[in-house]
Amino acid sequence: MTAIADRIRELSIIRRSVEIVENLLTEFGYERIETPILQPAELFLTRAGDQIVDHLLTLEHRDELLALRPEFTSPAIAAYLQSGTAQSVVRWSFNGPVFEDNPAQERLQSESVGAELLGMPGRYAEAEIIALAGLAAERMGIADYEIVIGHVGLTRYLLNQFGLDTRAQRLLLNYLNHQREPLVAETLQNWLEKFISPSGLSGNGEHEDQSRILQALMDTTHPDTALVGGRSRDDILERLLRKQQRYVRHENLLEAVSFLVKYASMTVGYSENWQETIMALPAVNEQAQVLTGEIQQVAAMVLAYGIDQRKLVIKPALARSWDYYSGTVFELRVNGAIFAGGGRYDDFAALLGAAGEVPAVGLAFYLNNVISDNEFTAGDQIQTLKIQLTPASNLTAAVRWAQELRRHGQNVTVVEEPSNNAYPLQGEHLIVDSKPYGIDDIHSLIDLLKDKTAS
Amino acid sequence: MNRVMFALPSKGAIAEPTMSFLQDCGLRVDKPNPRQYIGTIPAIPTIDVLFQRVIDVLYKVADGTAKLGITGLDVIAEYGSEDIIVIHDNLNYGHCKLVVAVPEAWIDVENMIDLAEVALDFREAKMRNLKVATTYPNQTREFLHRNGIHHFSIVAAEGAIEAAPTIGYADIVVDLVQTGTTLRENHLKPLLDGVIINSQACLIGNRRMLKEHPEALQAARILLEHIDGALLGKTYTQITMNITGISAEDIGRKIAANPLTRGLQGPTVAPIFGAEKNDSGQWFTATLIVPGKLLLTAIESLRAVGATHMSAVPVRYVFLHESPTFAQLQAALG
Repeated sequence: MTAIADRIRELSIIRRSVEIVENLLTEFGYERIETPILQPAELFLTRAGDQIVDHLLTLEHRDELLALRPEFTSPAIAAYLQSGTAQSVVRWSFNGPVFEDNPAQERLQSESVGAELLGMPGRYAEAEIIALAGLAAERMGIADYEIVIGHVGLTRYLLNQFGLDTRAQRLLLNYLNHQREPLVAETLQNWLEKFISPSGLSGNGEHEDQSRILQALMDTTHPDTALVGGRSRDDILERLLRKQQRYVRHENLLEAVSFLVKYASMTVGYSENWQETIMALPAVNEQAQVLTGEIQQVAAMVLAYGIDQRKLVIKPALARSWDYYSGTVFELRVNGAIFAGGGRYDDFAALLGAAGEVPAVGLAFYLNNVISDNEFTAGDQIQTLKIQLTPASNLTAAVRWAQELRRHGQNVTVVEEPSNNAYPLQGEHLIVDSKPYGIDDIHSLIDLLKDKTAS
Repeated sequence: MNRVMFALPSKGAIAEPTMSFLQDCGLRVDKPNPRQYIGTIPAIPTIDVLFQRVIDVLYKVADGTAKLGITGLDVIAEYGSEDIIVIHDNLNYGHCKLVVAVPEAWIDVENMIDLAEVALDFREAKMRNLKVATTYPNQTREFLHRNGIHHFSIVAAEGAIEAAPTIGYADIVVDLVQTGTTLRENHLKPLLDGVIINSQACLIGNRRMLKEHPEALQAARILLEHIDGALLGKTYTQITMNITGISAEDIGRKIAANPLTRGLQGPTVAPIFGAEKNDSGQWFTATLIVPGKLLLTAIESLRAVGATHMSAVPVRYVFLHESPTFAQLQAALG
């Protein structure tokens, strides 16, 4: 359990890091938006990405299932659609506690800052979002970071080349997403073997088997009666057909798996010749080149923001959430921990009932991750100036000193106990480095205090 | 002397087997009144028995009301806490499995990958989550996540959850299965790779109480002496045979030449008085224990070295130089 003193320090660091990110976002024209902490769970349960759904913190209230906000994106898109501003470009920022019911983590609550750029298609928006992550890290004094860039659209496109149905792709990518790296071909093939198991419908002319299975379905279901476990006879038949088709085309799946093993392991520094490495893969064609070019364009623009190219790593298969993102994705990692991540998720609005796609790209900062890694340095140095009362102090003067110093941007507190960093008040004079300062000398005192802080 | 509360299941699948198990271990439980929740174990006078529901055994041990208890591994997996230490996880009774089961009519669903796809069907075509009825929400959630199923809702249920898909308040169930009959009767089938946990009865203790209360640790030691002795004893059969040889040493060497008939250290050999000598030498009787499942192999081996008139009886206890489980417990408590 984190000690209270540590927690207080951590919150203090987080507050300052939030300020740094917010200031940066304001410079880029992002407007701060508030979202409720408590929301209907439905908003997340059926629409958010797998990781969020897995760890959603829910509670029941008057027969309604509520969730403590796990992220900002879903409420942001919902608000965008409801605001009637759809198709206009908005830049929104969010911050506050987010909640996660994850047994692997010590606490349920963490602090997050997020930004969403909605209504803007194209590479410019993606590069801006990625650059914001890098610039924020640098302003916080985090030197040792890397930005990993991938492309969900490219991965999906390449898998399409193997003739996989959408559902097969989705399950395969989900499996990939939950595996620890490096991906081993054997485990993926074991998975595949189970995936294409034919349910007795072998597809090679064994009519007896097919008849037996179908008869079993006829016996246990009826087209006009209620669903069995929520599924109708048609639902079951439709899926049987899907399985059968996969079984017939299982060679394609085997090829796709073999491709995916190579593709998923590909991680290349930006300064290396990463595009050629991708082009050498099977299944890469003209359209794949276009998508690869998108990564190149985004990365080049990120560099234009002043991000060091040695910080950029290209990992085309980077998977943040396959059912959430649709294009460029990224993660900013500090010693392996994710400090920020996001990407393009144009399809997401349709899940919330929009008629079509809404261009959307966003990011979230996971501030606790980096603080626990002791990487954050900018927040440690806040000084509070202490005015020490003595028997000879003029109390009214103490109030005036404190207020004047605060007006000049100092954090001030008044104490009675002497300490190394407390300045005694003698009468109306504040004693700093053995020299008395009257209230009229405040400007020279401020300069002195700034010098002392800098040194 | 401070007394030690030992919580035992009062009802449920492992209640009666627990009483039989303890009796087989020489730890008969006396319950003066069937309506009361207390009892004694005459073999360990410092122990008081408290009868509770299987899950409440865990809670009573966790909060220190009872210092020791017997419950199921499934209960520990679902509700266990740091206060609980599993002292013996292989009491070898009360076997059952926590499994994922789907309606038999779902003939397209045979494994967890199939179910993952059906869960996506629910989400995308029906715009709702797969509903799972269970009394094991934590184990279920973790297992489904591990198997790529993320969009589901747990329907908390108490008793008769096998009927949930028929009644309609859930699509599938996660439940304990012993023989599978109840599932079949409710037109459900377990998924081949849907076993969440293989469970059986286990002995548990309160970690802090065992560290701080010597009488609790002493009670655990006596329990474990009986339990280890009885469980090990069950695996052995004692063979007594007549055999001729020129000396006890000669017979001992012949029998022990085969590791299977060496017993724990070697055979006990004694002369038979009054038996006539023959060409092979004098008659002796030899006794040893062998693993019960290899009894006939051992008999053949003994015949081969001249043994005859062999009798075999079950071994009730085998006590080693110390209770191995108690040694493990001491190490775990530090």
